[in-house]
Amino acid sequence: MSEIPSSAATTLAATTSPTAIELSEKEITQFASQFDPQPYHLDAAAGAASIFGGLCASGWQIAALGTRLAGDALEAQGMAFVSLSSVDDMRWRRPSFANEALRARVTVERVEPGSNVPHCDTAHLKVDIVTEALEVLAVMTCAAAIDDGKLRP
Amino acid sequence: MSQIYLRNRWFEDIPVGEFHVFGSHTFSELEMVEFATRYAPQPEFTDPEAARELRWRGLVATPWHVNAIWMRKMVDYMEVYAQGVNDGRRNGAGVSVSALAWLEPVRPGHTVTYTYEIIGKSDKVIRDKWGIISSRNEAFNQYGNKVMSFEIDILAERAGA
Repeated sequence: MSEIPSSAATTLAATTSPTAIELSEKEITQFASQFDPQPYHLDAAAGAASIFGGLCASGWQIAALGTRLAGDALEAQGMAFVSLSSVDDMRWRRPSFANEALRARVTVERVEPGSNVPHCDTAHLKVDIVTEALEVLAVMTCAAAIDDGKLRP
Repeated sequence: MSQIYLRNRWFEDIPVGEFHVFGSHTFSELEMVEFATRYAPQPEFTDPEAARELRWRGLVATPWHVNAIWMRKMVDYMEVYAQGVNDGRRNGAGVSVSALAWLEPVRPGHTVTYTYEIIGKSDKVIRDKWGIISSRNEAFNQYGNKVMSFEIDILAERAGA
């Protein structure tokens, strides 16, 4: 294990992704038509009539976007995020509607040497995907692969 | 006698132990790059040239892409069995995921086959109407190696509600 800043390895303070990302209605319906073509992700009226109460993003779109945002937060801490390697637990707390500015709030719980991703260490994370009003849309307890700095001499 | 389709079954109709091989997908380089460009913009996932020199020695699918295809295959499978069911969407909405692991990289041209098994039904009742069904989901590549697995809890409407 090398090049992991001691501040990142020791702190339990949460870092928030520096830039928010919004999903437009078009992006929500495009993702849904490709990967999750269910009425409440495709159509406003169907969404309003559903358990979700409105057109909302696929939970998998939120997971993917939240992971990108979590990577941004780690990068801002000086950690070279590569990918997720596992998710112990993920919960969708409320539906995600169009044009909500989303960020990830990331707590690094510990860092260990090695990963099933080559040339990486493992950072154990808690990730909250939040709106500007800090409403929590989804939470993840997960392991991220962080470049160990040894791939290139 | 009316047929019971997968999608419009009540909570009570779904048996623990039920196992389905529900779909396969061959991942193309183009779709992998498109997905990653938005959701995982690291060169391992977006740049076939650069990826050759990186940790997997070639482009790989970003982990959530493997799960997004799982979702698509699941929806397609359910719809085949739910023809004509417009208001009977009694099950499907996901609540939580656990024990999700990506075990081997998925590369361009790999064909991934998805399976699920119903592993549990909770006694909990949500909003007076919904029960919770747990399933174990696995994905295998063309060599028979497991590339991804997870468990998911979904809502299913209870018949008595």
